[in-house]
Amino acid sequence: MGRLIGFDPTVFVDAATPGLIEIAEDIAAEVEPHYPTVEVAVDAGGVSVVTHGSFDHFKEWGSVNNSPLAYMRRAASARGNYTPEGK
Amino acid sequence: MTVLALPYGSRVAIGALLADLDALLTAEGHTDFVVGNNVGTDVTHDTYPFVRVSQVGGSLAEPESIYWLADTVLQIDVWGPGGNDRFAAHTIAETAARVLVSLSGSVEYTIGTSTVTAVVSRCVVGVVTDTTDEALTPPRPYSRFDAVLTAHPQPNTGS
Repeated sequence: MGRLIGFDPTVFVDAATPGLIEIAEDIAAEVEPHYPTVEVAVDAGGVSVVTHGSFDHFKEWGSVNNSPLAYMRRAASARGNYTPEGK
Repeated sequence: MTVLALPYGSRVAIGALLADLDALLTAEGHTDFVVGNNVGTDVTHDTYPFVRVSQVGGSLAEPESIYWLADTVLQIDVWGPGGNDRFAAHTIAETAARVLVSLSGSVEYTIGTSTVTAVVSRCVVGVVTDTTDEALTPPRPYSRFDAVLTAHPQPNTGS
């Protein structure tokens, strides 16, 4: 697999809209008790808050026996301008 | 100072779906997929299809100044009627999304014996995700989307 010579991923951090990383860190801190693997990711797609837990999707989206707890979306929407999935 | 109650977003959505979802499904030839009264906040029985509407937070549009216009985040889950479940669940969900995105202006619905009212500015819906509910045996296809309902109380309620 090739690699990009001279590619510096830190440029994404520099290019991120000021404030977005801080907001993402706030969201991550709020959901961390529920999603211990949460982390903030900055890449070409922008600033993201992601988790890696095997069952986190059940907590977030629920099942027939469990209403969605939506910790991530609650934290994001509380900070305004939430956009639905896939929009 | 009187502070008005914000619209109950999930009940507005449930009212709209009870009122309009089956008519749209039927008009488009999906008579096998009609949901009847199986629209609610909890899956309380084992008859499908079922549409669940969950209110999962949100924010005030102007939190610093006025308690009035709310962005309510909703999640809509759809389990199909059995048989060709994948197509059914997706079709019902996609049709429900169109019902919600059509919401606008003053609305009033009666659910059971209670009435829900609101003035809807808009409802932004996401794209339907097809997935599988593994909590059921055997696992059952279901489809979901989330939405943001922007609404405020009816002005004639005392503003």
